[in-house]
Amino acid sequence: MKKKQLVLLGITILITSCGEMPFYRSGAALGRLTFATGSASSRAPASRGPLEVVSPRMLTDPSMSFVDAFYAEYGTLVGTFTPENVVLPISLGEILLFDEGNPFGNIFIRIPPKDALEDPAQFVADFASPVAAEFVALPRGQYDRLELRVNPGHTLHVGRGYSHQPDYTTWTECSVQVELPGYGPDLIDIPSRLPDDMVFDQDFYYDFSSGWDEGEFDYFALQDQVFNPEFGRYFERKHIAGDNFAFTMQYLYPRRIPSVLDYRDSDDAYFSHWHVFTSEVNAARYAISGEGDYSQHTLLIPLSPIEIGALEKETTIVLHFDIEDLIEVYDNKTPGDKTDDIVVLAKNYWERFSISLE
Amino acid sequence: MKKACVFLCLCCVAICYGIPQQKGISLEFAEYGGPLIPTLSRVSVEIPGSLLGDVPILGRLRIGAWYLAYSPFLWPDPMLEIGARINYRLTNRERSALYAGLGTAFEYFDGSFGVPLIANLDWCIRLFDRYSTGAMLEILYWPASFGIEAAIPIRFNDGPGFGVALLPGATLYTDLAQFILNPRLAVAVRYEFGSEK
Repeated sequence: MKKKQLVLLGITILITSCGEMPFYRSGAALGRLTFATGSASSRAPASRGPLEVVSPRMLTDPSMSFVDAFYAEYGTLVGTFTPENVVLPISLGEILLFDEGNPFGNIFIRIPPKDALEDPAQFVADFASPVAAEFVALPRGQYDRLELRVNPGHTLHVGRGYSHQPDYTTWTECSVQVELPGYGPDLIDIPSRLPDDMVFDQDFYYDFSSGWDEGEFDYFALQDQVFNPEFGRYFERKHIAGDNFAFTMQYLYPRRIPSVLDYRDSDDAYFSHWHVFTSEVNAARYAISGEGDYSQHTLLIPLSPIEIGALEKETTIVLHFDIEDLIEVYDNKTPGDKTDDIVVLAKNYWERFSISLE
Repeated sequence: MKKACVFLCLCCVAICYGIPQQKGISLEFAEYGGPLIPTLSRVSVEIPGSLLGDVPILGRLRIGAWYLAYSPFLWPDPMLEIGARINYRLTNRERSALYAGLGTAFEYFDGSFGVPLIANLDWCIRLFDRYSTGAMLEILYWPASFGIEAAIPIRFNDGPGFGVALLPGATLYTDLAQFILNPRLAVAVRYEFGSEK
């Protein structure tokens, strides 16, 4: 009888156990990590001060050399310009902490945590006004790689959480606002274009047709949103006022034939080359072998070895994007004609990301 | 360090004495290091079942409750835990006693909460008079995650009055996506009400 009571008690507690496990309970000295974004006016690592740059400037990825040929065809460089504002949708799906000294190998930290997913603002990295994600607990240790999976290209996110199991719909804007002195009257507006295969094949159709309970989801309502021109701007150049222009990031990607004002998938380096925003591909694949392939949305930022959580309880990881002279304008080999000039991101723009600890 | 602990325990087991029976309520404050930086602090109370009545089964029980915080000074940030458990004495030999316990707790951290099932084994071994050691194993279960804690307590001045204990051990916590294996060292100050006899 007594044993039965104890067994009954145990089963009762087992059934009623719920909630999440606090890693804090291990007693390990845990760092708390928050994520922020910020612009960086200079690529030079700050050796002193509250920010410690822990990612060296990315090495030039030889596999990206195909872009050099694009720039060679753009003509003469007319000028470089620093945008006033850069907004990138960043999907903070995962941070990988590769701890050589940890017998269990890699540790994957998902950020932002589930609660933060309810806040769409955390999907947008505004490099003029930093945003921060929720804290996540990190085990103490020395890490030699921190890889952010960002989503710098899309204006469109259908669903949050896992790409194959979205639970919400939202839009994230990617835009660059820049003043191009003397170009106000010359550059006409180019209305938004969606790549033909973007929405249905990659995001829309796939996400909402597989493993999705259609009873909880209005497919057609979402479809209307996708094609509403107010949403989902992909390839757009817009004259705001004076010499100020707003571009989508996709417009500014180096393209094979950028002088063609209509959007063509075949010209889009972003779509033609999945790793257009990727650096250190091989090293990263080695680190996450078994985790599946990276998509073209991935940005990998290798780190110098860092110590997290040794003494301090909070660590802020700040993602910087150096926007100084980010925009380049070429004359398209027609020096006397500004109307066909090419506005493009600076060469090797993907190397302008860096990470610092706070 | 590990070898030294094992050697010490073997020596202790070789010269065991009888296990004392806890007669009074005890209070304990423990400071946990992860392993050397203070991280967790815990205050606990333990009541021998014999104080609750003369029923034989109560003589085998120890009822405990605790408050645990992920901060050195019991400050409930970023995590606090309030728990309770019942320990049942399975064996009571001349030199040792084995307790099995079952309990649960409520945890609050970073806006989330957890309610684990906690099962434990506590093997108490009497050394010299008022000195004891043993082994403690604790398993915690949450849905889709669990933790294992192990420690070898070394208790000085065990029994009524003030006593001190060292609890070297290790913990493993995992949600199967992340693993945290951590050596842990705790220092505890304990006071037991009542007298020896």
